[in-house]
Amino acid sequence: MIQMLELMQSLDPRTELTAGLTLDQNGRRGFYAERSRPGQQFLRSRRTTLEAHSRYKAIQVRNPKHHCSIRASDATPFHHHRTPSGFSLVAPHLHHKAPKKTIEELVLQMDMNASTSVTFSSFATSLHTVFLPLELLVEIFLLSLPATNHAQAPQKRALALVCRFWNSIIESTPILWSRISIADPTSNLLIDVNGARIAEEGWIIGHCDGICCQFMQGLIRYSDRWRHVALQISCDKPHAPMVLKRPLPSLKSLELYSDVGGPLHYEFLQLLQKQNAPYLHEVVLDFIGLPSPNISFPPSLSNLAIYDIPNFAPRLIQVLSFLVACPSLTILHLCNVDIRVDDRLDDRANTPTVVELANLQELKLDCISSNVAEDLLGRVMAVLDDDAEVLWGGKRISTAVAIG
Amino acid sequence: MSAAPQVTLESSDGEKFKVDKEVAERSVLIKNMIEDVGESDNPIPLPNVNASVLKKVLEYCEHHRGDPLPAADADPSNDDNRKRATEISDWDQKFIQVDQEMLFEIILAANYMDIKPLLDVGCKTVANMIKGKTPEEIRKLFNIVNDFTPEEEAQIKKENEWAEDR
Repeated sequence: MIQMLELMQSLDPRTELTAGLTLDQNGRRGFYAERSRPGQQFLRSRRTTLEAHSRYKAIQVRNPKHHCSIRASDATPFHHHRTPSGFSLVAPHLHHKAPKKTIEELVLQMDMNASTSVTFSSFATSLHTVFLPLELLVEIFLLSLPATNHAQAPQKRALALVCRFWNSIIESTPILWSRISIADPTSNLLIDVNGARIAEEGWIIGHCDGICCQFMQGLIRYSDRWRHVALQISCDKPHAPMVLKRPLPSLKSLELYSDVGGPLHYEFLQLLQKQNAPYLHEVVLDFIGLPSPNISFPPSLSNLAIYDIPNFAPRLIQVLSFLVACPSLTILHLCNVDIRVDDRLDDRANTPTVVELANLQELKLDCISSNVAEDLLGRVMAVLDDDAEVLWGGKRISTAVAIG
Repeated sequence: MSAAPQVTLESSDGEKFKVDKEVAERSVLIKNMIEDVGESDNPIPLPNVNASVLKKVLEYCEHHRGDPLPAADADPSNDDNRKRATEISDWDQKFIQVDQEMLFEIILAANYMDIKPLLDVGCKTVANMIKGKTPEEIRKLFNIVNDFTPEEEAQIKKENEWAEDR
């Protein structure tokens, strides 16, 4: 303990210190500390005398000279892990609730717990994953989730039903709820539960019919946190697009789907025109009615997919104009869009001869008339690497031929 | 021509491994230690990694010695990173075909030694084991005890009714 206090005194006040006390299986106390200086991502390790299978009791001290925070962990056996955020020997599912304690109280508690300890090795062969650090379990859970929104929910449900510990991780980790879809909640209770969860963590939802619309009205005050918005519109007078009228300063991707052909969505255009979503980089429009082919997407856009837009018949000049405005595009899908050839004299004069898309890596054109597609491809200038995909009518074609 | 510089690593059970510095520096932890203390003949202690695991980790580092290092400033919460596929290269797949205990030891060692690509391979392997399985299958796979009461289990199922696949 004296060693630890000496170390704390010797550190730069800006230094964050994660320090721990250890007890090995013979009850010998050890000392452990890691520090990080501002601007350093990884912690540097000071020498420790830890032995394999030691039991750890941890405290976390931030800005030690100011003594602003000491957080003690609980009496559960811990496993050593390191994270950029500075947590080190903290029981993952308990540290949020851990009471603040003085170092003296902690040491006293450690001494009391030492005699009743259970060694890590006794668990090691049966409950491996329980002792993986929290951030690794979360990473594994994330990697196990399917890519599509709708398919993620059953997998999360399965993980949550494995044991209490996994359930607590699923429930309390916002990143696992970053994409979510709601399918017809059937009771107010469920709406309360899910509404609270989503609102707290700042994510949004799909579907827009009946009860979900009321649900969204309650959530809308959290719109400045939303990063992904996926709206599925399945009624004639949807309320969902109202969220698009609001500033969405965190919004990165927007997906608008409709299974009824979608009414006109002025709100979507308002969102783009008012630059309410400055960080928007992905837009997917599927069967959504648009009021005008004059769309101006933000220059930050990198992924754009437009599928089956009814009554949306832009002229080639309009398509090229919005492409010119999005020089960062890496993925462009245009499917079943009725692009009209420019045959008016003034159009031909104003049509950009070249659209430079330096980052383009994937271009798909489906159900586009061949002369329009050829004209479009002839004007797009892109530096494509070997992995780039250019598809026309579902067939992969040579990039050398495709790109003018 | 002078030989490549080497460093000695010492496992938790005292076994010493002499490896090329380039190989050892696949570990950010070791790279930082070498930067901090400078070149030294003293072995670098790795108190959280035993010899059998360290041997395996070094096998990985040796195979990938020439690979580009991952960007240090990569944001782990970045959505694009999270979207990354769960594919594992053929060599890595064969490398990680070990028993479950060794798999988790490798993950923990990669985490401790800060070897992100190895950590990724380990996590992806476990994720692929979990993917598509029922809670009961997962419990059986990892020998996890179902500590829910029937009431708790029913409550969780009820709360997640909305998440049913449509």
